Amino acid sequence: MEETDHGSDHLFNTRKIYLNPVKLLISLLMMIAVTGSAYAREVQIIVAQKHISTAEQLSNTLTEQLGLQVHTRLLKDFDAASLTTDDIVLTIGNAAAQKVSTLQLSQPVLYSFSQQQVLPTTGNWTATVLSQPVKRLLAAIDPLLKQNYKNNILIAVSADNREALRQLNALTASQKNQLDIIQVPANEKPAKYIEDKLFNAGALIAINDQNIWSGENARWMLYQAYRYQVPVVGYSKNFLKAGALLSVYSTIEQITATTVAQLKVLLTKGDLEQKGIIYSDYNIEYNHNIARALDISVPKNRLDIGAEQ
Amino acid sequence: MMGRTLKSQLTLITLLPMLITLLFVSALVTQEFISKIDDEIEVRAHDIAAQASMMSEFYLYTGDVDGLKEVTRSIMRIDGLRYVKFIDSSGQLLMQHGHSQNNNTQHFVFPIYGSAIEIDDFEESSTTQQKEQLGTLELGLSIDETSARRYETYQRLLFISLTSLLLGILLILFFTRALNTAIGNLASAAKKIQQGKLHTRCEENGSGELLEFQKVFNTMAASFEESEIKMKAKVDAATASLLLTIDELSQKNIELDKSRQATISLERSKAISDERERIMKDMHDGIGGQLITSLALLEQEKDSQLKDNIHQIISDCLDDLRLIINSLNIANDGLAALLADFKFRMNKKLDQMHIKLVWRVNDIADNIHIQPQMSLHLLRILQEAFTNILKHAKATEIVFELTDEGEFIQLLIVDNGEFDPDCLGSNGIGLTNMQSRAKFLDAELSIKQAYTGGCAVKLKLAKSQINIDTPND
Repeated sequence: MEETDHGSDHLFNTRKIYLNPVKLLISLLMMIAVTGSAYAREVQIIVAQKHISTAEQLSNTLTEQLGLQVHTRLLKDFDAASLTTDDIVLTIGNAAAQKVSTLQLSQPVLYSFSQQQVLPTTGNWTATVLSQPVKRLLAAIDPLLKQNYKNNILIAVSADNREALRQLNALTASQKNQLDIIQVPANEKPAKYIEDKLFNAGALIAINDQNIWSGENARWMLYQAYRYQVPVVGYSKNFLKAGALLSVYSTIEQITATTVAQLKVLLTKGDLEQKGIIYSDYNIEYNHNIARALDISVPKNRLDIGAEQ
Repeated sequence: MMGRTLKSQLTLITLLPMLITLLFVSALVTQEFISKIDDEIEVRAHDIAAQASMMSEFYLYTGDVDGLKEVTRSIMRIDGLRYVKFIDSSGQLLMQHGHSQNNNTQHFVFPIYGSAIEIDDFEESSTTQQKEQLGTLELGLSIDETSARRYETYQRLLFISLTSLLLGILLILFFTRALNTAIGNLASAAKKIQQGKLHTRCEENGSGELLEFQKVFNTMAASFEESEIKMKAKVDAATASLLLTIDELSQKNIELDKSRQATISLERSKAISDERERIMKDMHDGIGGQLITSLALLEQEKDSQLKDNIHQIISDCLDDLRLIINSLNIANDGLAALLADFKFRMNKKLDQMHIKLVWRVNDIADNIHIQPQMSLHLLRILQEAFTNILKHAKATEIVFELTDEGEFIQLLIVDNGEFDPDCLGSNGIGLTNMQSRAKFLDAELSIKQAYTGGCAVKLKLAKSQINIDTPND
């Protein structure tokens, strides 16, 4: 794996949408060569106004790499009746995903940059999510636990987080032994609820759960963890700024690449190859200040790690 | 508007702005300080609240009353804090320490908000957009110290203001004294000059521009005084000249009037003279000629008593006519000429009657001029006197004397004949006429017996009634 410096955050770069006629022609010719026929399907990107830059970036990538005709539609103006059967629907963000998921479209849908909670349970879709699988987070913290006599890993999850619970259930026995899974009731404050457990915890893993890790709850969770000198493993780059020891996250470029790959497969094979949640390539990044404060030695940052098979 | 004298105005002008400024600044500073003191308690309350919020936020979030108790206990150690209350988001009182019912307490209420963090890289969590109120913190801070500080501030500022005012007044008085004096001198000098004392000068006791002003003032005053004097002199000279001219004009007017009168008189006299001369000539030529012709005719008649009588009468008429003509002749207005003519005519008769005439006439008679009407009366008096002598006196010598008696001329006719005293008491026509003619001449006539035994007729004629030439005429 090539270590590259992803020092800057390219999540919200703004690019102009343009069609390079030469590139388009070359792409078209390649498509013909590959598929035997010109691709007539259009990609309809559904996006809320706040994510329009990400949509433009993705649109440019699709056009450049696949030579597709891409139409970006704002969520507020989107009318499902305007879709054709050949259209491919691509959503960006939770709001678009939530909207489209309720429509029960017959067209294949690619959910991108969304969280698990908004995804439908059934249908012809694939989702490139923002969050990370529990296994990945466990694997990231595991080497660091050996430095501490406390090797209990704490995970707080809300009772209605099905995906998280599913992933936790799917862990191996040895992995489960390491874990202390706390299901926080809805009417409880997570930070207070886990306080007793923090005393013996070697690490606290944050999973994508809006009832646990959002807003003020997230702040107090981190606060509590720091009080008890428990390192936190986060699933986004912002976790590092908030005080986590390390964070496992996928960048916009990585998620975009995964989405494009999925689309390419769809176009090539005519259907989604892998349905459901897909996790992108990821980076592991450490907060060295927190590491010093917690007296933990951490390796250099690992960037652009490929997804597991 | 502010004081009548310049000094008071100057003092007010310097004092009033200082006073207003001082008041304004004092008010501002007082307000500033009081506001600061008031703000301090607010700031203090905010600081305490911030600290309490930070300490209690987690406990409010988790509903941990014990934690809040610890926090409250810690906070209550702060000076001046009367009470602390923690109330949760539903309004329920979680913890209270101290009493809120106190008169000298300022109450503060602070909401305690939770502050969320954004941990998602892509999506902005809705919870981070809204600040969740975790609860409310109520504080009560004692204002005793604040009141005391406020009072102290008032006192201090009042003291400073009064001191500044006093100092300011003293300095103003000190520094404006010289100015006041100088300006006062100027004003005083100006007033005196206005009252007319142009010699007044201002004492040059100023400095800088004011001294220059004083000097210029004095120069102007001197110039003004000089101009005034010159003007006055000119006016006086002009007035004198004017008066002189008026006098001259008046004099000339009088002279003109005199001249006019003289001219009129002269013309009248001339007219009268001309008329007299005409009458005289007519008489001479007419009556005189007739009488001479009559005499000539009478000479051709035989000698008789009648012829002699008529001849005498005609001769007398001729003499009388000659007398009248002579008196009217303006060429003979001189007394000497008149008397000489009278003497000439009398000599004939006197020679006929062998009477000696002693004729003694003063030289002054040459300078005496008599008006024709006066000369006739004089000659008639002389004629009557001589006639009386010739008729009644039987004298052999007549002395005629004209003397200068100082204020009057005296004519004296003395004979050596007989004198009849009875004639003096009688009312003879001759004597009566003599008296009336003397009265007309405004002369004094006296008739008495002379030392010679005869009659002395004395006529005193005042010089004021006659025209006497001066020696230089």
